[in-house]
Amino acid sequence: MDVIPENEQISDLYWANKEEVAAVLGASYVQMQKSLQQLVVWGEARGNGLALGGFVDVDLQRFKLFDLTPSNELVKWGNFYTIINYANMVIKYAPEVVAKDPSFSEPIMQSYLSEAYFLRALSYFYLARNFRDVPLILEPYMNDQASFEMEKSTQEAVFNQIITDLEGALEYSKEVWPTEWETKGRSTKWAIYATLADVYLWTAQYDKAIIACNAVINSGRVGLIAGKVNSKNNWYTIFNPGNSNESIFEIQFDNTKNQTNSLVSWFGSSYNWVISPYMVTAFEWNSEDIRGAGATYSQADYKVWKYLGAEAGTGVPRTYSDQNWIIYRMADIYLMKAEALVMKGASYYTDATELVNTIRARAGISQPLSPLSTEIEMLDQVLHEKALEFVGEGKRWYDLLRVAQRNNYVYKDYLINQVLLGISGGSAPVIRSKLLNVNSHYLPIYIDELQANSLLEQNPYYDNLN
Amino acid sequence: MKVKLILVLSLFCWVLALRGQQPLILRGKITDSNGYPIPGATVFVENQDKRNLKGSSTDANGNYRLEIPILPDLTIVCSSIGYQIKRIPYTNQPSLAITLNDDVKTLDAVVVQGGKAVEKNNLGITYRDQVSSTQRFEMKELEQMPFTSVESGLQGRLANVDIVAGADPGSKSSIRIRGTSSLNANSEPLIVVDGVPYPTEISDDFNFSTANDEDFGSLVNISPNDIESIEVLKDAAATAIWGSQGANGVLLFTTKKGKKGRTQFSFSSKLDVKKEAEHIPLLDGSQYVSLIQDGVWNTVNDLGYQNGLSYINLLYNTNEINFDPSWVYFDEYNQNTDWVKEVTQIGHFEDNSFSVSGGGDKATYRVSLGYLNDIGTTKGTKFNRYNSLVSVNYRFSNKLQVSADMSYSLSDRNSYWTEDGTGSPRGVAMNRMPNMSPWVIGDDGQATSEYFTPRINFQGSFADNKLYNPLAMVNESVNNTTGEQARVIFRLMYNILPDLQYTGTVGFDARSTKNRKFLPQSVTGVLWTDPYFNRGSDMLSDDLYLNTENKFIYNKQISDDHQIILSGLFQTNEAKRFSYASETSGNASASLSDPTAGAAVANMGSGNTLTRKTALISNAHYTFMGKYIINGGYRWEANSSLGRNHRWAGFPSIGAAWQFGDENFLKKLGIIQMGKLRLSWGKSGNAPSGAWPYLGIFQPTTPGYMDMAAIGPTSMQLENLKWETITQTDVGIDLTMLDNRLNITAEWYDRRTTDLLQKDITLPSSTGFGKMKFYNSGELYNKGWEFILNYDAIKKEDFQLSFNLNVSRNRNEVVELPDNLQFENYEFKNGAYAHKIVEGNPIGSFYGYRYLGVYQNVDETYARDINGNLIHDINGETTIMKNGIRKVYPGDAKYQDMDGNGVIDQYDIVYLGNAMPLFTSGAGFSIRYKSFLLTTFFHGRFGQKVVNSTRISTENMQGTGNQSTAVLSRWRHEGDITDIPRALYGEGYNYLGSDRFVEDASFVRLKMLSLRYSLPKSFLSRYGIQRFDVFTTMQDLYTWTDYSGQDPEVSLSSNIYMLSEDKASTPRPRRFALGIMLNF
Repeated sequence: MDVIPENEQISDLYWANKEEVAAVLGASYVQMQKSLQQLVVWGEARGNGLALGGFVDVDLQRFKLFDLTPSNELVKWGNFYTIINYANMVIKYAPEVVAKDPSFSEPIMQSYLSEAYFLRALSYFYLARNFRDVPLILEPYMNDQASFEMEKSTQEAVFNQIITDLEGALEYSKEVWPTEWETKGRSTKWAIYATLADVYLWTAQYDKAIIACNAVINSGRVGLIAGKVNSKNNWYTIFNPGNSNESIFEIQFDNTKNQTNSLVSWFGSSYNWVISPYMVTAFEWNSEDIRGAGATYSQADYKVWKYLGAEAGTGVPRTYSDQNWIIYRMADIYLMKAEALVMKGASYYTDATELVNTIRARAGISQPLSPLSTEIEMLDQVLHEKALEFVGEGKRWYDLLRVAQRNNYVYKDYLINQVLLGISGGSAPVIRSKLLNVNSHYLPIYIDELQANSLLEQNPYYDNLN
Repeated sequence: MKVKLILVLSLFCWVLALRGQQPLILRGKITDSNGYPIPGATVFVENQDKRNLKGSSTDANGNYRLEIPILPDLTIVCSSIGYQIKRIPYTNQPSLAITLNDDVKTLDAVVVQGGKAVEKNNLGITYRDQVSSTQRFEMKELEQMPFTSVESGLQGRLANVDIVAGADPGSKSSIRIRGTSSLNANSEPLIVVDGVPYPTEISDDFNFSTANDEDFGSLVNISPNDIESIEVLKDAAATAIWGSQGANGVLLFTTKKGKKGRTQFSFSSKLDVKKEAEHIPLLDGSQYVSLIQDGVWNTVNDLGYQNGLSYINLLYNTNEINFDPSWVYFDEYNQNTDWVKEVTQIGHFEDNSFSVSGGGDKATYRVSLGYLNDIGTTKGTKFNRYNSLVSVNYRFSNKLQVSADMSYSLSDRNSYWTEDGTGSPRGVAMNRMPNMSPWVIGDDGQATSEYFTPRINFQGSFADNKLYNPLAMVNESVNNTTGEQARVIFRLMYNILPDLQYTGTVGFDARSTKNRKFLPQSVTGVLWTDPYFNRGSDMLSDDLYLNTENKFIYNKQISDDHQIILSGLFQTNEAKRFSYASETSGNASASLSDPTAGAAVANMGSGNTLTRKTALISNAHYTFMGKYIINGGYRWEANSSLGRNHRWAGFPSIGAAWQFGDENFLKKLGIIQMGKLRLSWGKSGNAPSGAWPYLGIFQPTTPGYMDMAAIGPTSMQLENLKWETITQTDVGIDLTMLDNRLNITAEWYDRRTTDLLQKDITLPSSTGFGKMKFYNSGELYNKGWEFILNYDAIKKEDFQLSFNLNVSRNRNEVVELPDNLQFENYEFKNGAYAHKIVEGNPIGSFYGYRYLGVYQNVDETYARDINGNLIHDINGETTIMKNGIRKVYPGDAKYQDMDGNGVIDQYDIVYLGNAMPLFTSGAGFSIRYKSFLLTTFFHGRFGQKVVNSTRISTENMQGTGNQSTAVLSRWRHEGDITDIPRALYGEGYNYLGSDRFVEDASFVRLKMLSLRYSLPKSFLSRYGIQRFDVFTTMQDLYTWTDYSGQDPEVSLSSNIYMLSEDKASTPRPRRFALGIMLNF
């Protein structure tokens, strides 16, 4: 009575060799590629680096104006949980495959596990930063035996799990892969350290953050690339062709392998995003900055040239929409370390400013900054530099939120003021009042999730909007 | 190996040689009673089991020569057509002369000879002793009725078998026995033909280009002329041997078989003409234009000049609705076209069938051929079928009997191109602007033969809203389904012991269906870049079904008082399906309909599935004193669509019956001839549909991640998936009274479905999966009763009058909602109803607003609370009612504000009705006077509600579609007494899903009125003809109904949320037929 399909691979017969384990990891990365919209919107819409273009997408507009409802399509979290489920599968089944496949040795298996832990941690990191409390699922769903309904775990528990995963992933992680795209596009020791540094900053473990940053800085595998080479804007090569020496982890795309994204559409043709007037003004303060007009954005129409052009300073566009999405690069490490140093106290302000100045100097700015007197001034100095360096790279909102929520939201006003700098028109007072309620800093859970999972509670602030 | 084989072979030869060593020869002459020799008579020798051992026949002089094997107890049997059979014991006579006597009886009444043997059901139990309910229907009653597929003739004939038949040639019908018992598993009954299940469902796994396939009724491959009788099994005890497949009831079809006696030829021919009732009257060209202009003006008035600018531009700059003779298409847009009339026609139907049957002592046979041609009332729809059936039965001996039925049919159905989301030509024709011409108008002002299909016009385009030229659609598009079916049933019966019988059955059923579709550019007017430009598709599916059954029946009459019947069955069932489909666009020519090379591939797909079922059944039946009967059975069953944990399931059934009519105290009264009280209880199961739905599947994602392959799970392994269980209790009473002239059956039942199968359940995405295929949850029941009456009021030689009536009621209720049920999200918009399944309410309920008519003036538009007091806003001003977010104006639709908050929104939704009928009924009478026979039949369904979507689309006055003439009485000024709101183009909520469009579709229909004249026997016998009947039959002649649509018989949708919606499908035409039946 056991009838098996001839044209389909069934789960019972899966997990037989190492290629199958690797293919599930591959599927996780594909899912990462598919999450691009969330990476852009979640990281940028609520920040002040980008403004809406001419195209009216109602859900996006509402996102930008903090007018979020549980039916906003852009708050769906499914992509990340799919990655988590795949990673959970690898973590559970890869050790079993070792017995079945003689070519699957323990170290290879451990290296796969390390990759899976990294992907799981990274996914939870995005979820926890956007939804605060989320269901923490560590076992794969392969069949209907486990309960589908799960309660939320606290953000703290999720962060702890992330740290456990990442620290555990370090041992067997790879320093370098055989090919360039793998070294930049798959999990490496440096990617794990970079993520760890970020999580430590969120969890106020500044010494550990500094150690993690130093591990990357001293790795010898990655480094800051020069800003200008022979009067050519070398900084722009971070984005095109990408996979530069500065890069730590980028989600890979390649048109020749039929893997393209919608960045050119979002930032160009369909005109969702332009650089915000606030950022343009910020760049205009310093005409030396090689990152400004012609590189990060185009002077004529304020489109984000980073994702559209083939090179800086010219009007030559990219041929295909297959630019990589950078999750971490070296400049990040410098500025994360600077932030950690600031948080350690006034005695470290000089060191922090030094790091900021390194990034500024690389950008061609001759005038170094000096340390400032208060913590928030110092933080602003670091974050402002980060804003300039990372326009449209999906970081701004997290930076503002991380700084603001520390120590029981002492810097809540800083977040509100920064957000409002990116808002034009009459909605500013409304947004200010919304942001005063810190629950509005997190996203609502999509309406279908609540229907399908009765244990899930809508996030506060949105629970009466269903 | 080879050596062994040779050894065995030579041994075998030796045995044969030994047996043939010394054959005895018997010689003799066969003569008739007058002493004349009979040439060609059959002589054979049989053993004590009546097994034919050797045979021979007489020569021209009546002499025969017969080899006699050396065995004890032999009998010589001699027979010839027209003479009585003679049996003479063999006592080693050297020669034997035999005289045969004339057989008057066989010549006269062969038909009667079929035998009144006591009929038994599949488990060897006589109908009299059954504990369950069965209703039998003789197809003879329908022999004067022309129809293509058998179910359309059965409408209303069987109690609580609710059949809604499609009106297009060859279209599928929906059949529900005792209500809908499942939400997502199949609710159609099992069809069994000659003891072998006959699959009618379309495989779940193949859901590509099935929009057409689903509509192809597979029962159309059986010719109604070949069916002898139909029996319906409803309760669990009766359906037990068919198990899960029969959980929704079983229809047993028995085909006609050969009968002992002279060879019979019969021929019948039917011709009929089908004419549709008049369609609902629609606006003509000028009325349409003025409606649109009225609507646009009202909108502009509401919005004000500035906001309504786009509407003003529309009004002034749209040539189609303006009078501008200088415009190039002026002629084409100043016509008066009745589009519905253009796409319909008078249909007709021919059915011819011919059969030969006969047989002797040993063998009987029947061969039939049929040809049918059915032309529908929608242009371009037709169906034709060739079919043949051969059935042979051979009796080797008293112990061994073998029969084979072979059938082959070839059908060809033509229709118009269809796809999900594209309206039917009738629907489009209703809304097509009537001032437009279907043809390009030539310089002479006359229509040319070129279709006028602009790419885009005022009403839209094919790309935007699937608008097309309906006349070109019915005439030019192709949708052709060719079905071929070959079926063989082979059966062997062997009496192992006098009381123990074995029956082995093997059935093969091979089907091949090919569907071709083509949508030429002349229908759509699209550019060559469009994916629908010359779109063609090709689909092929091959199915093979293999059924086997091994059955042992032990039937022992222990004494006069005790009888037991024990049976054991082992059934297997295997279905193999293979299919592929391809769909391309941009084909080379509008005359090509196969996808051609170079065309752009729009879709491709293939399916390859295998399912298996197996069951072990045991049953025990005990009769005490012929009056007290008890029966118990158990079915142990497995289905390959379930995982190992839940694959096998057992379903018990028990029943009891009491023949109280045989009790002496009643017998003495002499009122009733038969009276039986029955009680049964049993369970049966429904397995999820499709092959291996429980299996988790991994599928590659292409492209992968850079050079890495990517494979991920696409569906989850469902270890918990199990059978949906139906538990049924049945109480029935059968009565026969008035000298066997009155038969009454009454029945009450309760069917409870538990572990309802839920399909495509949305999972929390935190599981990493979007959906799961099936989930068991929820409970539903169907309760009801049935009443059947047959009365032969007058039974005389020259005059007979008989009545029949059946009434049934089924009530359906959701007892427990599935714990994970997700409602369709209701969206506040025009024409939309909320669909919910609510505990305590039946499935198929509609929810919407209460319609109160039209706001007459500004005063009425002020918002009031529940107590009728005006609602004031913060500033103390009165507020205006709102439909959704839009303020109402006089002339707008008025809905009841249930919560009295001044806004019509989803909180004002109430229960409006249900698609399930309260009662269904069928009744008829027949009168015979001498050689004339008048038969009538009425069919009725009562109390079901239908959403009249056709009215929604022809009375909304909001868009560009043509409307019915009802809108001529629309509201225009204060004081207009009307319940039709004003015209309002593109704005407002004047046709929210409300009770305005929910109608009671109760009807009684005169299904059949037939008059037959049989030519007198005395006259016919001179020409050797036994029967010559001439008849005329009228079908669907008249319908009594208050329903405003074209046909109250609205087909049930497979969508459980929206069970009946009138979408302007082809209405049942009136049919007038003439025919003859001839036997010789």
